Amino acid sequence: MKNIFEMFKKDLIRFVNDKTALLLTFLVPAVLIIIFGNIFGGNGGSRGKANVIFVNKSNTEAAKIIEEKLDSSKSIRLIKKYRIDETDSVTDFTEEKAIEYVKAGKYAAAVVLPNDFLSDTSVTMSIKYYYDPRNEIESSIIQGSIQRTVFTQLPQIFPSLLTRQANKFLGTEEGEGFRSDMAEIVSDYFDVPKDSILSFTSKEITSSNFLNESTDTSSESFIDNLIKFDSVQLVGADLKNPQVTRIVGGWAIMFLLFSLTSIATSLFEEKQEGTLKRLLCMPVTRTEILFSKYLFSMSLGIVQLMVLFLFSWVIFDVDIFTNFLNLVIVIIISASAAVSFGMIITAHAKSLSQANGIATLLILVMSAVGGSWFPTFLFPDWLQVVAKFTLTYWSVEAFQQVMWRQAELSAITLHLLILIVISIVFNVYAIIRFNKGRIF
Amino acid sequence: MNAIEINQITKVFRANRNKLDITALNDFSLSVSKGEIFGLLGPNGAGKTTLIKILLGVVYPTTGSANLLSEPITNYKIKSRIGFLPENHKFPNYLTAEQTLKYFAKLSGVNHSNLNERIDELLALVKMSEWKKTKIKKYSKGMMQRLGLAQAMINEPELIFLDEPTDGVDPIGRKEIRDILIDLKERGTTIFLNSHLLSEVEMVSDRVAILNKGKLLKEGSVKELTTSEEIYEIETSNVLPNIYSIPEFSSYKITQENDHKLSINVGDDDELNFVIDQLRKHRVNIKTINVQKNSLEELFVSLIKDSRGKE
Repeated sequence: MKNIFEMFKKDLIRFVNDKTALLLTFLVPAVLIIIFGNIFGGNGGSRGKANVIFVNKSNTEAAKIIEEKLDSSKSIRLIKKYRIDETDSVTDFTEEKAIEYVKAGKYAAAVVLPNDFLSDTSVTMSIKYYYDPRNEIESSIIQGSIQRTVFTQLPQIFPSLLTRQANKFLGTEEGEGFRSDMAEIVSDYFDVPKDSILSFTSKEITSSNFLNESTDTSSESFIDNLIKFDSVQLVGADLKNPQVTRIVGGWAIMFLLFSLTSIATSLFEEKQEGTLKRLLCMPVTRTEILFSKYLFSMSLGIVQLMVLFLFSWVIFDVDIFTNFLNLVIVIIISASAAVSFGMIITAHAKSLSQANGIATLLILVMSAVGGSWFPTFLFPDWLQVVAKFTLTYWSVEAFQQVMWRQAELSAITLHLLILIVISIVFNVYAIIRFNKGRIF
Repeated sequence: MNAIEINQITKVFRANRNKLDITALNDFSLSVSKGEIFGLLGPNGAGKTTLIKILLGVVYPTTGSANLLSEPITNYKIKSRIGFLPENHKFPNYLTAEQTLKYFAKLSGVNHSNLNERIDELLALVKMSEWKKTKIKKYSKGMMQRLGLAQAMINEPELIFLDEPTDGVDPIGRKEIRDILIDLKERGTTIFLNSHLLSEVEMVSDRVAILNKGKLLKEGSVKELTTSEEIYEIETSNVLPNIYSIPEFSSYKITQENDHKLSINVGDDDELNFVIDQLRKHRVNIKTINVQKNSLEELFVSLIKDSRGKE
């Protein structure tokens, strides 16, 4: 037993002295739990709102009330205006502009309350919903939130709509007779005065009706028939395998970061082996040594991603050829940014184990925050802002644009520029550090 | 003409908080002439490896400057005229001897036209021809050292730095390496040798420097350093008289080891002849006279002890 205890003690000392093991054992899970907690609200945190374009073309009281209710939704944020770059002014969205924005991937969905949303003679409530299901969860949440908001505000409108429908099919006189007969039957069955039933079904649609009443969920399926929810999928409808197309970019950049960072940190292995010292004594500059590593990593990263995408095409029928040139451009620039990340880790770390520990922590966090694992709209607002400071975010977004939306190069210019800037800044910093000689 | 000129180089390794800075070299100056074999000696941690790293641009000096082959060490192109065998070196173990030599030759800018001949010639010189196509992972330590020496010579350098060149090599191999170094010297190559094996350094070096804790303790030719005070051992065929009672010897450091042997420190040949005359005058029959030189090792140990005693 004493021997076992002594060996246990030795393992404990070794573990405590291994900073990488400590980092991976405690810090990485803690950081990931914080991120997961914030995403799924388990830590009392609030989930971020999904941005949805809203266009209200109806002048009815009911449309205004729906707008107010959607405005106060906890799940979605209505975007009603957009900026015109030429005049630097802000103006209301039109239905056409909303469609253009959704198609371009700037917003996931647009809700339009049309002119005929609910006129005095309408027998159905008409809502137009344009969407881009670039992310299944996001799309479901947005659509669900809109429908729930609308349905829960209809306890008073549906009797009126029923009455209008009866009058439409039976004529006003027979319709009124039908309403009277139905009221009498209900009165007999439920022992409710017939006048109160007639009064309820002839109520006008007013704001007070909407705001003070609510309905239970069991009535939703019935109400569903009274609402014409006109959904139009603007993007991705023709994709053969939308599920895999959505996620392949996120996973690609995560694996790219892992593999390319390990190549960059192999400079430490060369240092330990002594081959780096010999290389430094040759008539080559440190920048040349760094760039040879950079070039090799880049090439490998490009080949790795090409294989991954070809594999997804062969196995899952993911369309990679329709927008192949742009896909290759995103692959090259993403690989460049990923290698730069590895370079900066190598330039900053003092040992191989430290480099690997920091890299693992940052890659997992960046993958979680940057959208490789979950859509960023699920995050709290502050985390969505943080996400934009990760290279994974811009890479994942760029992959989605070219694969999901088959976007033109102009649509991903910003993404590519940001990734290029990240590459340049990281590489310049790494070169300065390498030339100062601190890591050697 | 100097192959190496080091001017007041100081290298301080800055420590993290709560730790002391380490001064590896302290105002160190040195010159090595072209065509000589120069030995750098010092105990572990003396700053020898740091000095070589600075000269070859692996680390930068905190202050001071140095020139190699009349070019500042900051000019990386000068390294194409320099060879280097690092201590405990390793080469990529998935390469063969031939591939390794080609790799370093190309990085050194060696002319491709006669590269294959040059590689064959060098492998023959270090007796590695039969291992030309074998992967390095199968090499013994001695074979690695031979290959290391070959790669240090691949670009026909004017100046070679050798850090522990005979480390792990058997006695016959050491002799062969010594012969190679002497041959290189005869062809005009300057050799900067860093070794713990003092006898090796003594055997091949023209000049040596002894370094401790970043400071130069002594520098000079091997002869100068080992013969500044000569001790002669005199053996006699008859019994010696009481030497200490002879007044003519009172000014000499003299030791009578037994009835037939004494040792005496003298400054030059005249003093030695004077001592012999006095011994003969006292009817001492001299059988043999042997000069007892200070070995480099004795000098080294003595200098290091002195420098520690002064602290």
